This record gives sequence, C-alpha cells and structure tokens, in this order.
Amino acid sequence: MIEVRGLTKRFGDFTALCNVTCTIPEGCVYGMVGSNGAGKSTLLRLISGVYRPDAGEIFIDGQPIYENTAMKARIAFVPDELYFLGGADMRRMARLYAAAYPTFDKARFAALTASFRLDPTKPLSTFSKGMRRQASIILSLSSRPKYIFFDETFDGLDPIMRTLVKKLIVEDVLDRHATAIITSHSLRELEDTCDQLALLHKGGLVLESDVQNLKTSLFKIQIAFNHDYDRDFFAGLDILHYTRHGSVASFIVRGDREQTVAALQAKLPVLLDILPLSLEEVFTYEMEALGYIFNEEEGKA
Amino acid sequence: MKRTRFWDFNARIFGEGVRQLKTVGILFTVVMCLEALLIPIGMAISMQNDVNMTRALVTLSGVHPLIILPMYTLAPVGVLILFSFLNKRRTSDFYHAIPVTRAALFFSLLAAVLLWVIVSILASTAVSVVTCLCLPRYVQLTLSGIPMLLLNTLLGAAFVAACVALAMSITGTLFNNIVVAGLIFFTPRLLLSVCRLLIHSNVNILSQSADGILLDASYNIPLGILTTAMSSTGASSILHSYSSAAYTAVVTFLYLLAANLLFRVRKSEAAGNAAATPILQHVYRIIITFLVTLIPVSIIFTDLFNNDTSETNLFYVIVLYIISAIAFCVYELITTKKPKQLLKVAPSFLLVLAADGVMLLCVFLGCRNALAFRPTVDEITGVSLVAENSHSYFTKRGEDIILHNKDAYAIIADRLKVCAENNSMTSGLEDGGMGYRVVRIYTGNNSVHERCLALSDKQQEVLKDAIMENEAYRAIFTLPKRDSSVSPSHSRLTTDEANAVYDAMQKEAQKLSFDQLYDLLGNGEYPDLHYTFTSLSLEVSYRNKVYSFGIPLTADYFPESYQLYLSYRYKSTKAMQDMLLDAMDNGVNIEAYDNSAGARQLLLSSLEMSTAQRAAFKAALLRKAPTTNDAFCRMWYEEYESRGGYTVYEAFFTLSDEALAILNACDPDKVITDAVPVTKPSK
Repeated sequence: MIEVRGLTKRFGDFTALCNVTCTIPEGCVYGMVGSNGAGKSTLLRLISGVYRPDAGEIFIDGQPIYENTAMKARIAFVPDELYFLGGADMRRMARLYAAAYPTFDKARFAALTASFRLDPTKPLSTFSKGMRRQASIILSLSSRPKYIFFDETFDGLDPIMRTLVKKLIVEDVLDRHATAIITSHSLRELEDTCDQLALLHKGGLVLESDVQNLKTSLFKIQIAFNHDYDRDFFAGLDILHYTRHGSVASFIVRGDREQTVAALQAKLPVLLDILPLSLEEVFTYEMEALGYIFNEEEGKA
Repeated sequence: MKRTRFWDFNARIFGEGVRQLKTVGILFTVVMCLEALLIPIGMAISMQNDVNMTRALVTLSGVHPLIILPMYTLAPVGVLILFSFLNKRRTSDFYHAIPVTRAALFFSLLAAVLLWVIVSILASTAVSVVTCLCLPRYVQLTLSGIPMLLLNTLLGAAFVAACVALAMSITGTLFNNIVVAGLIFFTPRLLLSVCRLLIHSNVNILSQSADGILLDASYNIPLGILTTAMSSTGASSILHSYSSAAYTAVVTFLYLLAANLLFRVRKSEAAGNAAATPILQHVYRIIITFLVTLIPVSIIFTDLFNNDTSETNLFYVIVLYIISAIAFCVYELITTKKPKQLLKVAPSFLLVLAADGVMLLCVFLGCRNALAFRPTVDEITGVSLVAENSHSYFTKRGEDIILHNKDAYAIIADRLKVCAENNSMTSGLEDGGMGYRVVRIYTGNNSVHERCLALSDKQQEVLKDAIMENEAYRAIFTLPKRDSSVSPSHSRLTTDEANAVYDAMQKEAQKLSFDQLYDLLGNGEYPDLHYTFTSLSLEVSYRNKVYSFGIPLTADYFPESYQLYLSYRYKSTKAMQDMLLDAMDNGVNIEAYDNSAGARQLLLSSLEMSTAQRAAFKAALLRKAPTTNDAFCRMWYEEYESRGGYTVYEAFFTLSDEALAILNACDPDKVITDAVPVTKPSK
C-alpha cells in the first residue's frame, strides 16, 4: 500500500505539488490524469524516491521510500523521458539493470523481448520512439517489481503494443498482487485498465475515485415538457451541469439512476432519455462541480 | 526522514562503472604501455648510435614520464563520464530511482575510475620495468622507489578525481563541471601561491624551499608536479615524497568527504542547472571575482608594506577593481542571462572586498611572522646547510646533518638579527667577499626555519670549520660503493672501463683526508688546484631521486686510477695513431700534458710547427701507453658530417724528451695553461 500524506514539492519559486494526500491500496491499478504541469510526473518521482519531498511523507508498505534501497528494489519506474546508455543495445541495458536490480530476471527479459518482437542486439539508437518505450517497459518489468510506476507510458505505442502492455500490467497485478500507477493525459487510455482514478490539477489532487463508481454515479438526462420550466423545476436532484435549448433540457445528475428516472417520469415529460457518460465527461463535469475550469480563457474569467 | 549513510559500496554498480569506462581505460592503458615500451628502446637506440654514451641510471619517472598521465587525464575524464548522469534530468532520475544508496553510487563509481587508473599505471609500469630489464647494457632502472612512485601517482589521481567529483556534485552542466572543477583544483593553491609570492617578494631573507606545509605547492602532488613543470625543476622528488603523499591523502580525504556529502544531499532536479543551489551561484560568482581582485590586492599590499605608495599604482588599482566588477557582472549575465539579476546580486561585491581585506591581513601577518624569527645564540639548537635547487649528491646529503657549533650559531643569530631588522639579506655586510647560503635553523620545540643569508668570507670559513669538525659530514664524504644505485660514466670510456676506473678511485680515495675530499667533492673548490685531465661523472640514486657529482681524475690524488684511465684511452684509440700522424700535415690538434715537470698543458695545432718540426715530432713520439708520470699527448681532429654532427678521430702517444722539447720550442703564446704547481696528497 502506498500512503502519501501532505506531500509538497517545490522547484525554486514554483510549487509543483501542494499538500497532496492519497492512499493507493495494494493490488490496485491507479490512474492519474491531469494537464501538463499538473504534477503527475513529480508525484511519481517522489513516490519512486527520485525526489526528496519538501514537506509531507510517503510510505510504501509502511516504510519511507527516499534512499530506501530495499523498497526501491521492488519498484519499476518508467519515466516519460527514457534513459539508455550511449550506443547500448537491449542486452547491454539488461546488464545495467541487472547490476542495479538484484531481482532482475533474465528469463523474463528474454521472454518479454520475444513477446514484443524486439531485437536485443540492435542498438537502441536505431529503435523508433515506440520501440524504445517498449524496451524500457521490458527492462523495468524484468525485475518483477511489486510496484509499477508508468509515466505517460502509452505515448508512442501503437494500439497492439498498448494492449500488450496493459495485459502485462494486469497480469502482474493479478498474478503477483502488484500495484501499478499509470499517468496519462488521456482518460480513455486509463478507463479500461485502472481500478481507481485521480485527477491532479495545478499541483493538487482534486479528485480521486473508484472507476466503476465514477461511471455509474453520473449520467446524462435529456428531457422535454409541453409546458414552460426552469432548473428549479428539478429541485431535489443533484444536478452538476444544466443546459436548455428550446423545450429540451440536458443535464448531468449524480445519484441513483432508477430513483432519478422515477422522479422525472412522475413529472410527465414528453421526452426522457438517459444517456451514459464517458469517463472523460464524468471527470469534466465533476471538476466543473468542484469549481475547476480547464479552459484557460474561462479560468482567467 | 531516513538519514543517508556516509559510506556504502555496491559491487554491481562498481562493475557497471568499470564496464562503462572500458573503452577509455583500455585506450589510456595501451597509450601508456606503448610509451613505457618505446622510451627505453629509444634511449638504447640513441646510446647505440653514440659511442660516447654509457649506461644511464634512471628512475621509473625518468624512463616512463607518462606515468603521471592518468592523474591529469584518465582520472578527471573518467569521473566526468561516470558522473555525467548528474547533468541530465532523465539520467539523473534514472540513477536516483535505482535501488542503490547515493553513497554506494558515489563510492562505487569513483572506485571504478580509480581501478582503471591503477590498471593503466600498473600495466605500463610492468612494461617499463620489463623493457629496462631487457636492455641492461643501456639502462639501469632503480627499483627501490617504484612502490612510492605508484602510491603517489595513485594519490594524485585520487585527488584530481575528488576535485572533479566535488565539482560535479554542486553543478549541473558540463561547462560548469569543468569550470568549478578548475576552481576547486586551482583556487586554494592559487590563493596560497599569491600569499607565498607576496611574502617572499616582501621578506627577502626567506628561502625559496621552506614555506611550511600550506604554502609549499609541492606537498600537493598533482599541483606540485604542474608547478615544477612550469619552473623546469624535476617533479621526481614530489612523486617519491612521503610528506607529499601524506598531505595529498589528507586533502583527498577531505575533498571526498565534502564531495560525498554534497552528492548525497544533491537533488536530482539540479541536473541541467549551472549551480545545484542558488547560494552556490553566489559562491561561484564571488570566488571568480575575488580571483580577479588578487592583482590589485598584491599591488596594495606591496605598496603598504614598503611604505611606497604612488599615484600610478593607485590608478592601476582603481582600473583593476573596475575590471573585477565587470567580471562580476559578466559571470552573472552568462550564467543567469537575466540583466535584472545584477541589481539583486550587486551587494555581494562587498563580500569580495571583505575577502580582499582578509587576504591583506593574512599576508601582513605572514610577513611579520617571518621577520619576527630572530633567535638568540642560546635559542638555536642546530643549523644545517641547505642545497636549494641543487642536484649535487654531497650537498644534498649534507642537508640532513645538523651542525652543533656555538660559533656557527653566533654567526647565524647575528646575521639573522641584522637581516631581519632591515629586511635585507646583505644588511651589515660591505660589498664584495660574500656568499649566499641557505641555512636551516633549529630552535626549541622542534621548530625549524630556513633563511637565505649573505655571509662574509670570514663567516663562511667559520661554517666550514664547523663542517670540518663534524663526524657525520666526515662519514658522508667518501666515494659511495658502486652498486645498483651508483652509476659511474665517462664520455669516452665504456661502462665496464668507467666502472673499473671508479673502483680504483674508490680504493685510492680511502687514503685521502676529509679536507681533500670535501674540497674535491663538496665544495667544488680546489684551493691548490690539482691539474685534472678529466673527471668521472657519477649518478647516485638517493631517496629515489637521481643526483650526480663529478670526481676530478687527478694524477696526484688518484695515480693508479689515472694510469688505468690512460691505458684504456690509449688502447681504444691505438688503431687511429697512423691516421692521426698522416693527418698532421693537414692540421690536427695536439693537447700535451707534462706531469714529469709539474702539471703542464699545451694546446696547439700541428700546422704551427714547421715541416721539419713535424717530421721530427712524429719520429720522436713513443707508441706506448703513457704512465702517470709520463708526458703524453692527445692528437685529434673533427670531421663534420653532411647530415650534421661530427666524428672525433684521436690517438694518444707518450712523449719522449725530444718530442716534448719540440713542443716546448713552439710559440709560447699557444700555451693556454702554463705550469701549475701540483700538490701531492697528504698521506
């Protein structure tokens, strides 16, 4: 289990993370989304023990992570910017990883390299961006980590490789009870893999929830009446976002779906549609409800 | 927060570091091995081509000068390569993410660099030693100093590595790595050197060789070698010095301590930044500006100390301070690229001025302290004479002998008092009849000071008397026994012949008195001027450094050796006798020695004789090896070669009375050295 308490990290005058608190349970695939500069990479580096926090604490399995080699040995961190030795091929990098990680499993390295169909004797400099990322994933997962931290890892991977990587993560989580944290700009990348999702914005953790709960707790209503009405007509519903075009009103409701439908049908609408929301829409409306506006122009306003 | 460990080591990371340096390490090792192989071979080839050369006594540093190369190249380059991950964010993050403590990372990678240094040094040393052993006719390698040389070379490399590692721990770009490494490497010594220069240039009686551990650059092995390289004195003594080893080891340890501490507290995010923290940016700027202000500080100090201020110097000082202020601004602009930042940091220029003030105070106290050393006769417990910058074996040996002589104490105390009061070496002496001696003065509490004093002839005589009555001096003034550390040589004798002559001289030297040997070997003065036809040179390895001295081969002091020498020379040139006689009509040089009638040397050309004289002279020459008391001549001429250089053709003849008479009848103006009385050795 990963526990983050009151975590703050500053780079000079810039506060990258401010008082972040979260708990990531064991065996969970935890997705983190957020715009550029939200603090996702910084949080991952802090949890990986790369950075020392300016304030707050991080515990993995009850132990602090900074300069804790025993804990670091159980972590695989694939950053957004990859590092390979100059002129190295995958075998040379495997030797570097084997030197650094006592648990590095050469058999798994060979198996994963074969799965991804990469040539371990070819210089990494000749690899495409996606192939280099695959190589990095293979090297990291070859140490059979208990904690897998992937920063923007799906960037540059083709759909087949994305699926393969997701499959590997899920297998590790299921078979070895590993815990994974995956960051991405795109919710779509995460919604089919993650158990929990968190949204970081401007250095703060603004939303954290179970994916299934998120998907079912919000839904979109399209409704029309043959008489005039306004938002107050729906008093009693937890409406996050309300718009009306002519006689048709659209709004996002948080709550129990069946009870909401029953309540609306009692008002005798001429049209009532219940539409599912994508995870991205759920996040957008939740954030709006919390007062966060992502559009820069709106933000200034 | 968990406390990080100071010391840690990770063998796997060490192995990884060794792998990463493999290419560079092998390259350096191969280059050094080639040099170690080629230099002795080159020496042998040049000796083979030169009939006058005999076997050379060499130290490892002499025959393998590139042994110090890893200190200045492999060590810093290795650290720059292995620690370069600190300069890029992604590499820095990688190394900070792996399950290795920062202390283990630091020490393991540093050890990998030092391993390659050791490999290159040991491999090339082995090649050098084996090559020398394979060429015993030409090169005689002294093996005794090798362990110390290797240790000091390694310590020097470790010091440089520590400097670069320290710099890399507090900077985040390659440019700043190099600049700050240079600052760390040179700044402390530069400051001390400026202090030393100011003290020495303002206190005239200080000797150049004695500054104490801090002011003497030679204690720091890599810097000392650089300094000696610039001053053209050998670096060999530094590479064999125990005190240099101890000093360098201590400084290296302190630097490693600081580097390790800073490496451990360094944040991964410092990668790519000029300075690891904003405070360090101030420190670099202040140090760089302070170094620029050392020039006006020197001018100010010299003017103030000598009460000699001038408007010109004041103008220079103002201009130089303006230049230092410009340097202050330029550095800030280059590194931050923010002109507005200049106003913010401007007050830190006051810290530069404060540092200048501290510097002035330190130098002033140093000068005062040097001039305050004026012991009384009773306070002096011993004196010795120092061979400053001398390569003479006996002078060097004499350095270690402490004279306990009240008369000598009185002279030194008196001269020191007068000279220190007036801050002048020659104060109190009249012009002429004086000599300069560097004297090491021992006082109570194991205090030792060296001063350079001018002494009158009379005062020098008193010192000589003190030497004459000293048993330790007596003991060293013997010809050392020929062994692996003593190598005689002569430009016209083979090694075996030179050895035989030296062995004979050594036997005969036992009959000589201390006074005679001291004059011959130590003083380099021959009061009674024994005429010497030639001298034998000796190279002696003493304390892992090669010293030399020459022994005049005089017929009166070393008759048997002289005889032996003449027989060798006669034998080796006998084949050319006819050629020389034939050449007489074309002109040959004739150098004649007449030992039968006192020492007498004549030098003339055969063309200065009439044809009849030449014919008579040729007929009167005796074709036999001259004996000690015979008059003899050496005839020679030089043949210049088209590709440069020349060959000497020579032959020896014993002069009959008739031949000697013909020579004496020649123009007396051609006699370049007239009869000189010979003093027979006192038995």
